[in-house]
Amino acid sequence: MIPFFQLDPATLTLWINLDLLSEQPNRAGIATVVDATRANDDAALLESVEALPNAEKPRAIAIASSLWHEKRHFLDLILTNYGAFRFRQFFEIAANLPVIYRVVTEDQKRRLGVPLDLYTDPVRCQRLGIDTNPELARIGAAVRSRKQIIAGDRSAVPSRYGRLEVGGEAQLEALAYLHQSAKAQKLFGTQLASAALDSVPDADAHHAKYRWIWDVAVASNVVFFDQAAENLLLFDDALMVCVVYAALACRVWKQPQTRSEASSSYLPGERFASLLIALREQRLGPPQILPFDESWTLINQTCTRLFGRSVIEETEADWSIAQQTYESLRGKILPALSDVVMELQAVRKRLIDQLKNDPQSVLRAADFQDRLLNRIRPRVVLCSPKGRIDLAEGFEQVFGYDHSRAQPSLSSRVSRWTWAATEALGPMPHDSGAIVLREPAWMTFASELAPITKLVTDGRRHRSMLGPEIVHAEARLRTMANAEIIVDPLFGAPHESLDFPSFLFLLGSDEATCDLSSKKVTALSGVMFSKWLLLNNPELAELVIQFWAAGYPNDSAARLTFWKDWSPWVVAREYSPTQGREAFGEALAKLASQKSKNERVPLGEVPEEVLESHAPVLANRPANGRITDRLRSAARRYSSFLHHRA
Amino acid sequence: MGAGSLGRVTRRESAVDTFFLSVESTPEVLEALKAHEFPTNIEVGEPTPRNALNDALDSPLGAEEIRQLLEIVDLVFKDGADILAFVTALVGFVKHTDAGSAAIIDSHTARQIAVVDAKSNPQTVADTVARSRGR
Repeated sequence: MIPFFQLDPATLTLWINLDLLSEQPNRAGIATVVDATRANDDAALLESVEALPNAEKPRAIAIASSLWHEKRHFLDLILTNYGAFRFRQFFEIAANLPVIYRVVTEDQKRRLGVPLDLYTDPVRCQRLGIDTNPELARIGAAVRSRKQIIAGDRSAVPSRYGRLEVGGEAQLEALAYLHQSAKAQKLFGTQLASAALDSVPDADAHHAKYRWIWDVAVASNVVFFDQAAENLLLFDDALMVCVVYAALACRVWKQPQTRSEASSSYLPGERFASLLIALREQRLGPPQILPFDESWTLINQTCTRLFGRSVIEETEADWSIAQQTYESLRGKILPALSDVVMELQAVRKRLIDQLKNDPQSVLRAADFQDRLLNRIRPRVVLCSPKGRIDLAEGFEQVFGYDHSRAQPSLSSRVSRWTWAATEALGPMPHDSGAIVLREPAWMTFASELAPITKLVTDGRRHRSMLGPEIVHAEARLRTMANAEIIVDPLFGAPHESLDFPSFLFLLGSDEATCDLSSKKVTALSGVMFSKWLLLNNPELAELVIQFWAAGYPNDSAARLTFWKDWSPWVVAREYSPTQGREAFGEALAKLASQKSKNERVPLGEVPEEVLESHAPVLANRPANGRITDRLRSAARRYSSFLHHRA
Repeated sequence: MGAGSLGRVTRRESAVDTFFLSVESTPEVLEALKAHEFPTNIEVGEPTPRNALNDALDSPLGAEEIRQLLEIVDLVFKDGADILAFVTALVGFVKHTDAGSAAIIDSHTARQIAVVDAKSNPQTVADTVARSRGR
């Protein structure tokens, strides 16, 4: 899955893939649609969709509406207890980076194994040739237990509709999808909105991931529904959204739980099931459509009866414990972390007050669209896995590469590039009513601390829009700590499935260009794979580089362009590297013999002087002085593991 | 700079008579594997989840199929340890839980060697594992 838009729950930033936008056959049309959606300008959005050919409208609406989906995630990740819990799991490890740094720099061998949970297992340490370390084992145990909590909540359960997840993650998706589809229906009408939302590839997987809540609503027999037409289901979404919000108000921080045979106040999945069972038991007749106020009151009363706290009380209790904890950590953690978490708390408090005083604006689809959605502005990170961003005024680089740092004599424009950039001032800097995280420290967090934290918690095995985020973290940590970073091969590449037909859907095309032969390939004749496949199989990568190199002045040019481009690979089936080294090599040799030298320059020209020395690329990239100094200083001051309640 | 100098995962070879395998399956299967009394020359590590703590949320423009989140565990085999005994135990655990299957993985390369389910022939799987060591 290649995301067009993606909200990173670790940094609460919205990532937009510019490569996908720029490669649209109707680039101008789709870009206008996306711009209007980003600017929250419904009139401009309607106009831009209207200007498209009819056949392109559903896909354009699907793309635009997925931006609303991600904005809804931004709100729910800040406001709900589950969202705050997710962020906290990450934050706690980030807070311990100085400790990790100190332990590594004190280690005579200067080695750090990632992910850190390997330090809890002597067998894994033995396999990787890493010494056990009690301090890293403590942090590793925290990483492992948090993954287990989240995995437990996400357990897939069999249902008559196939496997379903009903935990916090699935609830966030269902909630975002409900609001996305409601807004699309309101703006474009039921028919066009349905066509748009149904146009996505792999309808079954899509249904299980986003629309499961409709099935559960029907099966639970507590929510009113009516099959109005063959493909039209009416149901009381307000009640269902209230149930989900009550479930997401999970009780963590090691607070006392209420449990019975049929209820538990703990994680979202358990709370969701508890609430549906209770609602079914207490209803007196067939489900009716309830006014919103009645739905919200009913759910809060049910929560109080089952769990001893209403949704609001549970959310306020969670916020208060968080506030005490973060205040107690002030001065003990990196200042950038304090800044981001205290702003997050302040914004969350505002949202809790809004939920308390005006719940419709948060929960009722029509009110949310009219009164809240347009005020939600996550910080946007514009990214180009191909490294094609031209930094405009007012933007600053998040991830990029500059070869002149390794070789100052080379400052040619083609020897430096940008993979990700963001607005320097942040979103809506002058609008006090906006729901936005403005602290400049968020960018230090997103570009410096978060990638390293992701590396130490998950190795390379996490979903991210941009590969360089991972290699930057490795290079940064290696340079800062002057240490060897050992990535457990079992966590040596992102766990992602790249589906070529889905990619073609996103491109709005029936075909794409083979990265090796330059011929057009279709869903049947082409395959797609990640650059990690080549990175983790250097022999295959070498074959590709040598194939390209024939078109360059020397093979250094091919190497530099290989490192620059992190977009997924598309090739004709006969050139798939998964067929093995030998067959792949033969296929490339045959292809090379069919082409003249000049035809094999697929990635643009790179001046020879840039490439005379290509050895120290990211590995020797100087670390950002400020953050390195802060980390070193913090490592001296705070040497013990900061552990707060999960 | 080699093609994989940044992306290459550091790999360490072990002594000739010691080798590692990893098993990926449900927490129940790995718990049973951990609790099983293998001969002393087969040691089972600590199961750990394979899901990320920090995954970005899925995109509504294309969803991945819902799968059970799995854990993984390392096993170290020393001094001619009996692979067949290990595979026989693993097939038994898969048979007596809802796991459906378990994957045997080369710990050094992360490549899948074999998948066992309740109907797997332990000898056939053990032969596959043994052959993979020779590659």
